[in-house]
Amino acid sequence: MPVVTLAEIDATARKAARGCGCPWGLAEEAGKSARWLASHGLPGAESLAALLQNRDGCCAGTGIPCALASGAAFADRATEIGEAPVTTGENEASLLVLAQIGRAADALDRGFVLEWQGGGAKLARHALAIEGQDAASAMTCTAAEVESGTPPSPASRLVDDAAWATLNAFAHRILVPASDASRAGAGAGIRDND
Amino acid sequence: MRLARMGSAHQSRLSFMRSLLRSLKRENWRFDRPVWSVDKNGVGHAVYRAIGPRRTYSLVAFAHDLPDDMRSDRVIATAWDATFALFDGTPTDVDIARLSQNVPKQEAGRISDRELSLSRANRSVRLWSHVVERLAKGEQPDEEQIDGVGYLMRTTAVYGSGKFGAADRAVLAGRTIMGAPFHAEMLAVWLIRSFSVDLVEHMARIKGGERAARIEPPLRHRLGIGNSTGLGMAPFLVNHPALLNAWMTARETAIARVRSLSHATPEAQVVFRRRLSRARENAAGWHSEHPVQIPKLKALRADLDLLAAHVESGALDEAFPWDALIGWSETALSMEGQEQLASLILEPYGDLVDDLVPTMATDEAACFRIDGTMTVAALRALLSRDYDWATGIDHDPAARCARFWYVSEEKLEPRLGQRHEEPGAEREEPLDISRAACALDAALVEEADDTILADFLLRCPEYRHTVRRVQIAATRPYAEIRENLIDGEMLPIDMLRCKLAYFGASRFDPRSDRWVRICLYRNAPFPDDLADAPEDDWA
Repeated sequence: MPVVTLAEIDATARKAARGCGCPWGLAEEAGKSARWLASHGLPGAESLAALLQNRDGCCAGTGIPCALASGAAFADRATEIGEAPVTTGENEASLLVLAQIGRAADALDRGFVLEWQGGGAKLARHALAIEGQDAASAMTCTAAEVESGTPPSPASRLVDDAAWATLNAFAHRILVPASDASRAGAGAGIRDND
Repeated sequence: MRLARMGSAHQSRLSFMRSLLRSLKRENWRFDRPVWSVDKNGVGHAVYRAIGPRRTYSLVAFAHDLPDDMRSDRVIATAWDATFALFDGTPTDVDIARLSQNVPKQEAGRISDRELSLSRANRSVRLWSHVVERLAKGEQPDEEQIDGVGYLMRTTAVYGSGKFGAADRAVLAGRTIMGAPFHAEMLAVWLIRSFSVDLVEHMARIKGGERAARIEPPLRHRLGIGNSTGLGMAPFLVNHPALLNAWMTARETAIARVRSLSHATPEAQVVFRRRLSRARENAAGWHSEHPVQIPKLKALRADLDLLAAHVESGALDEAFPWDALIGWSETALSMEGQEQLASLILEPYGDLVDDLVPTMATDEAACFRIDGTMTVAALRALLSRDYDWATGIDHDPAARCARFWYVSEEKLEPRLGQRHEEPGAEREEPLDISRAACALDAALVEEADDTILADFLLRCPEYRHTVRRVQIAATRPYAEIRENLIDGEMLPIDMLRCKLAYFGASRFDPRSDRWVRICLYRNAPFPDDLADAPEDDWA
């Protein structure tokens, strides 16, 4: 399994989501969420790779927002979440939605409780505690007092080979092959060995 | 904040290499070279350590025997005269063995969390052989040749912040000195400068034996370290709006503090005059063959002559002299001269402005989140207030959207393409800020005032990137370069120069509209004389 830095997870996930067809703004969310999950010891790159593989295209226009789009819409309104439970809606990649809420908790310095069938999670600034079964598709969210933590380690993480290859394959789609014109344009202009 | 002004930027007290050396001196850092293992062909490795009160950093340098025909500053090069990693601590033999398998390959290798930067350098062919020849004969190098080139080696890339396996930026975030932007990279470059001198003296000893000379200190100080930078650096300023705002705000705040002083003490006047005189020397020795830079340099030299005469006629004895001087410059000097003056007035006032250095780092994650409860009406108001420079541009004419930014498959590096002539525009990077602001502005026309952005963006996610920028810029007046970055006449070197001036670079010498050579640490102390040198009196 490759060892990659959190910055590489962020950048590769962002490019992969873009390569899959996400608009840039959502691709940026994908990068930050994959990084956030990995930094908390969760399969961020792997969750995103699975989502992109399932979708292989942007959800816009399909009428069914993907986990990136619905998670972003949910987190965008995080300041409105109070004691009354709000449902995140059905989606196929709950960890990515959880990451959006976790990042909102970091940014807003607020606590949230997520519940799903057979489990739940408490989130606060730099804090994440998951109990019970893995996050399932339907989650409810409430604001709550949750003790904040300390920033997770910035150390590199192991990622799954196949997932990393998937992300890199999607990321490759945003690259432009070299042409004579592009090489000439990027050059030093005059001599560069003097 | 326009490109023409950014493209006239000069280094200042707040530049990262100056703040780094101030901090190292104040904290009494020690420096040594525990390993020097370089053979008679100039091949081997060396370790340079910077030892501070809390931490030690080590430059691990690898010297190679590079055939002349393989030497290139281009990012597509695959071999270099020397390659380097900045290690977090003191490396063991095992670390060095691991690095020796990876650092010489640069992008094709892999470093680890223990390394803070990865870089490489090429010799200046012109100066290197001259210096070796002279030293080998026991003579000193020719001063004119030293000043003409300015460096023995030029770095062609300095990677940090989680690239190619290096430690994530968050590793450094809380550290006293290395927490400042680019201080780790600037430390690596400063130690590379020492290595370049040690290696040239080593080669002279191999050639000349006992009679070989070392470069005498006054001449040695005039050697900086070169740098050759291409387009890769340009998108950074656009992709880090909050950081750009922090840098610009620090400098503008410093200028405002000095402008608010009611008088200039005799001591402050002496410092200003000395630094002005140094700036004139710098401008006199600064050469470029580039058609854009030649007239700018000519104007700068004339500006500095005018400024010196104005100062001698008593300008500093007026009330609020610095404010008056800046006001005078707005009509009397070219943009080069205005920006040089803005940097110069900070020189006498370290006690007033140096405390701004810590504000130049910023927590970008903290401002990334979109406030989706904001209404369309509020966003429209922000666009109208902060993006009128963009929404007034008509991007339809071919020349106004002539370029597109992309990342090359070949080297994963940012490049600039011709939209109407080259393939690939469908893979464009989001650096078309002004055009995207226009598109958002147009899309909002159809929306009700009280629609909240979370709902708008769920329907129209293609505007999410731009909405984020508008919200970041709402409280950060210097977040955006107020220019059409896909315009056919846009000069990428203006972005490079601005960023490099924040590093502390001098002698900007554009080689094309997207490629610039510079000199770093010219006249700066070396590690072995930092302790005895006057504080921050070299640039």
